Amino acid sequence: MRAQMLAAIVCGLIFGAGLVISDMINPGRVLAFLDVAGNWDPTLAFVMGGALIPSAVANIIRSRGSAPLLDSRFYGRPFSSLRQC
Amino acid sequence: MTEINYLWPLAGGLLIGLSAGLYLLLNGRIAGISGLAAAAAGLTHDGDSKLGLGFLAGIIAGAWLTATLVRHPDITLTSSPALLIAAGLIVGYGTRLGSGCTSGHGVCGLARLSPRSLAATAIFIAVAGATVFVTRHLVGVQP
Repeated sequence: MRAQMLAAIVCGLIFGAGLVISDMINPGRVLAFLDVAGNWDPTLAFVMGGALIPSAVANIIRSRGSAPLLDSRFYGRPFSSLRQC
Repeated sequence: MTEINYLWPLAGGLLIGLSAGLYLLLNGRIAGISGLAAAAAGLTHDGDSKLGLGFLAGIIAGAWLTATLVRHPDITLTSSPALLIAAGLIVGYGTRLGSGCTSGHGVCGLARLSPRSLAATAIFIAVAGATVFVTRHLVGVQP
């Protein structure tokens, strides 16, 4: 449990760093992405594209393993079964 | 279209995805902020409230450290605190009803090719875009 807690905090730290570096902490930036009829700002699309790369790699690794490193099982459905629903 | 430096959003996005990927491979859980917030508030029944709190505390600390040391954000808030709280409540309700938000459906769900997440992401971005169009261009609320 202590290791899981540490993992949660470290993942949170990385996530928070990502939010600031990508400027997604700024509501004006998100609104500018949504304002396609105004002065459109594509930043959010690049953030999403960048985020999907490591997330997809992790899902591929996950689909080949039976359990995460610090817990006995994965919570939520895997990649292959979700394709069918 | 606003000229942007693509390296900041790409680098930030990679970090967000790295965080979500690590959380999946280490703890076996989805790094969706609305779900983590619900867990932190004790609304889920899997005993994850401490992990949710840890992740959320990490986000705040990581954002603060990065804003101090790496990139100072230039944030402009144009809404009143009351409006922000009301909007937050609506977002919170909607994300629980829709089982996820930009991180849970957008970053985690799309990466595992979930049709449900694709539907949710497409719908909330379309509705948000329509809301911005109506408020900025039809009603005339200026940012």
